[in-house]
Amino acid sequence: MIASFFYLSSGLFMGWSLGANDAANIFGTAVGTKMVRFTTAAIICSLFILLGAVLSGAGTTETLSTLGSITALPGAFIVALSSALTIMWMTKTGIPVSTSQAIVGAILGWNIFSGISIDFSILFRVVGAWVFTPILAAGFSFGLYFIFKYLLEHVKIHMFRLDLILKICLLAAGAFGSYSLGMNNIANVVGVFMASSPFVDIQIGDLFILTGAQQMLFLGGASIALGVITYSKRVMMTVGSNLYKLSPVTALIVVLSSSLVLFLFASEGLQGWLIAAGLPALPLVPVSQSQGVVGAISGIGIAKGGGNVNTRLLGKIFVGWMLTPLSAGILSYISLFIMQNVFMQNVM
Amino acid sequence: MSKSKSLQHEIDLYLKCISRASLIFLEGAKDAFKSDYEDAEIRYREIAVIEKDADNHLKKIQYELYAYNIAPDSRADIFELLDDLDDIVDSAKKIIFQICVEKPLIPDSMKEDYIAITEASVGAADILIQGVRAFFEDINTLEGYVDNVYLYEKKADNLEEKIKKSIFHTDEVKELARKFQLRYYCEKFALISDLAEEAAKNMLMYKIKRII
Repeated sequence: MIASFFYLSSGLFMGWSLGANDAANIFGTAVGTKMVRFTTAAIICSLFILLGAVLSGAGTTETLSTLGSITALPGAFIVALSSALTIMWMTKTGIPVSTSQAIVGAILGWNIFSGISIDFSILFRVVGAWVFTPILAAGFSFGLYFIFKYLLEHVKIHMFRLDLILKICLLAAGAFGSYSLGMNNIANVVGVFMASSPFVDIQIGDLFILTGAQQMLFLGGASIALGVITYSKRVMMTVGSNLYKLSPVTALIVVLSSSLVLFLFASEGLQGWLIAAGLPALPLVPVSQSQGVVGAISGIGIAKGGGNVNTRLLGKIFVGWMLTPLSAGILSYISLFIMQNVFMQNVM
Repeated sequence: MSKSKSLQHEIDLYLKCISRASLIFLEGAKDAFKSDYEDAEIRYREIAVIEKDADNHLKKIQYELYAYNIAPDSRADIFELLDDLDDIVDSAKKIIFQICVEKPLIPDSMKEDYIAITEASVGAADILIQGVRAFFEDINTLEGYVDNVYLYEKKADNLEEKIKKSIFHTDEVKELARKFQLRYYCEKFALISDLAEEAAKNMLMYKIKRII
């Protein structure tokens, strides 16, 4: 059991860093501008991430498991560790890095190392989702910008009342954003461990069975929540005051737009409904929230006349799309080789 | 009363103080131009009482803004804006005090212009106060008030030029010291409109910061 937890640690570290970084995308401006207290933000964020992960995280997790069904824990450990190290390195270079792209790259590295053929139909869906994430977020924020602008220009409301409404909206949007983050990005944390999960189903009285998968999703969700509670404050203060200086209304639009994208790419219910209605459904794929945020900010920039779009940042995202999976894949391949041949562990 | 309601009430009381002070300033100035310095001194004391009252309201507003975390993103701007109004009352009080002490002799031919420049200045301050109310209650109508403040300030500027020319081109005032004294008061009465214009400019900037 100790060995199992050791191997799970790389995934949990991924979860912790995801919570520490991505909570700032949801509550950064609200906390940085002191509209919402950090304690309130951290409690709501942790709770809803956990709920999203456990209740709705299965869809994207299954996609990653299908892309690379890693049945040996040491192999899953290396895949998660390689993507975590890639993220650390890419973050240092200042590229808005995606956990999803790193983990997919590392899985592909495992596929190549194991000699297992890559399911290109799933891979194309995954890559397509990455490309569409900032585009969709920009589209949503573009539309929302005009709706909010119209409302603010046509509704006579006292500044203090508007401020109170904004606070409530930021909290509600933050809860939705946290839920979406949990349901979409939990796959990055535990997806590679699903096929080799050390957990067994637990019968809770006569009430229900807590499956091994649910326990894994809960553990992953808890690691993200821990990242939020222990380390996200510093990042939030940076986001709120330095990096992206947004007004509370703009922040609300950005959080709603990026969260909506994460929700669309993770909701099994919505996918089922779209298929039943004969409409094209979006694939359940873990996507990058940070890139969604950049897309949403660009959407507002375009809505304002295009002058504020940071083409340099968009260029960096494009570089990230290429470099992140490639680096994670190579690192994963080399590390798997070392794990198998130096540490004599079965990685397949 | 909720915290934001209580703050709204406090701001309302503060704005009433500023509005009353500007009207009394106009009356005090008119008294001084008629050389009725006894009445002007009474107006000065009234303004001093109102200013003290306004200061107390301003302290309460500052406390409530920060203690209850109301409008955290705009509270510094709100406080700056209300403080700008306090500066106007402060200047008005000083001008009336000084004119009561120095008792300058204003030539009859210039009295009307002095009254007109004071009215233009007070007009700018009054429109500014209405604009500040709009800043809180209906921010989309703010530009109209700001434009009117600019209009009154321009009027005060034109009158200032006219009065200065009269002072230095007339034979009614012969001593250079007296010419300087009259010019000084002309500038002081126009100053109220300058302060109002500066506050209006700042207010517009605070509005832009709130636009999405």
